[in-house]
Amino acid sequence: MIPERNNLFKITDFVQIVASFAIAMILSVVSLPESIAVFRPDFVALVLIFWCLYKPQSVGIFTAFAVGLLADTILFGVLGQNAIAKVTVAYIVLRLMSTAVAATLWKQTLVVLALLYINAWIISIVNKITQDHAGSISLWLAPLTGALIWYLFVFFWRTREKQHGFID
Amino acid sequence: MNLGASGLKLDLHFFLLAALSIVLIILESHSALLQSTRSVVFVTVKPLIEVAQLPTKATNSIRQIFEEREQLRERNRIVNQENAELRDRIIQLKNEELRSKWLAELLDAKEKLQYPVLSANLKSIQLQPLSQKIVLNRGTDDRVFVGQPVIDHRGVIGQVSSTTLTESAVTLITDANHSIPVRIQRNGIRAVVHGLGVPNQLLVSELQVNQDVRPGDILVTSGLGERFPLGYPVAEVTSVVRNKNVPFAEITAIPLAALDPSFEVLMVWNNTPVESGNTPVVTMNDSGEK
Repeated sequence: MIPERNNLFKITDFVQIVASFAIAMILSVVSLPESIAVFRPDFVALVLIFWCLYKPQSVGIFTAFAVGLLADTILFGVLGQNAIAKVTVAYIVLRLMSTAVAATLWKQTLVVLALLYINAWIISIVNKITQDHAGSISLWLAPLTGALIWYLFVFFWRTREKQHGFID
Repeated sequence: MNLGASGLKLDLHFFLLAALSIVLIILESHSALLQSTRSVVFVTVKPLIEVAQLPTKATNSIRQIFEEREQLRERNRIVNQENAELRDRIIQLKNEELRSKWLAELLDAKEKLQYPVLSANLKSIQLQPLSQKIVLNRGTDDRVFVGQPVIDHRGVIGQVSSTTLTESAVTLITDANHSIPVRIQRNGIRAVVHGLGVPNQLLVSELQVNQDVRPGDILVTSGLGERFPLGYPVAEVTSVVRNKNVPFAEITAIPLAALDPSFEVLMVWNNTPVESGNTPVVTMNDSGEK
């Protein structure tokens, strides 16, 4: 790769990554009616999985930790619960599931669904231990919405990438 | 960030960060140590929270605008209603005030009269062309007699033309068949006031062209015919037209008494009843009519 081109890409990547995480966090705290809020997926986890799959050289386990801490702060949760969940998710993606990037969309979506459940369970386990929160129905519903969003997003994203002729 | 990290390095980082997270969780749940850290980190995410609150704020303010409109409308309705009620009260009070003033003046007139009087209320007013009558709630039970004068504090209203036990019909001085002998209060010149059959209009006759009468003169009862108390106001001259070819002046007047259905009038016993037909100045053509 040509260095300048590489640098240019990195700047746009950086902007994209920061913007996507910012939007994800905003979506996480936008107040919704209770009936809709139970379906709200963990957008931060979705974005994190996406970047870990498609830009593993830019987003890794440290980013996951930082983003997790920010999410804990913004959601007023126990500090560290999102951090450990996101670190775990990122670790699994980078260590075990990096091949999922080339998998069919269905398989990839199933992997993402599993990751979202892991993420949600870790958070709820920490909640249970520290605050004795009972798990809500959202624990089961939200990852499903997340997987659906993943499927739609990656579907359109891949189509667009194919049209523009550069596949990662 | 972890460019070129080998699998082992990744494992190491994972365990380090996971352990750090667990330490954070334990610290967080067992002490308030991390509160300051949290507030420092919070500064960085504060803008995101503010952005996230924008839709909520917008919907809230829109809802607030609508609620305020609704409240304003409701308050406006209540105020309007109160206003109407108060206006009603004011009208009632004004009526009461007028009425008490009227009654006070009637009392005043009664004391000046030095005759026995009875107050009566109007039951109906029957004003038709030529026939101008009112009905009062006093009859022969109250010793009301035909020909009895009826006045208010301002002037003569008319005289009783027929009675029942509890009601009496009064022919007004504006009735086309009614005449009343008068004097000009200013100089004592005698005249006769005739009704014309229309409200608020009277004709003054028996005054010659050269006699001293002018608009604004007050005509009072002369006592002739002995029906009406002496010197009581009847009418005010409004116009005097002198035509040299005619011996008598054309003079119009308006009655001084007012007719208001809500107010009392006075029936006067100034002397014993006088049979009609005896005097030429007072005509009673319809005394049998109720």
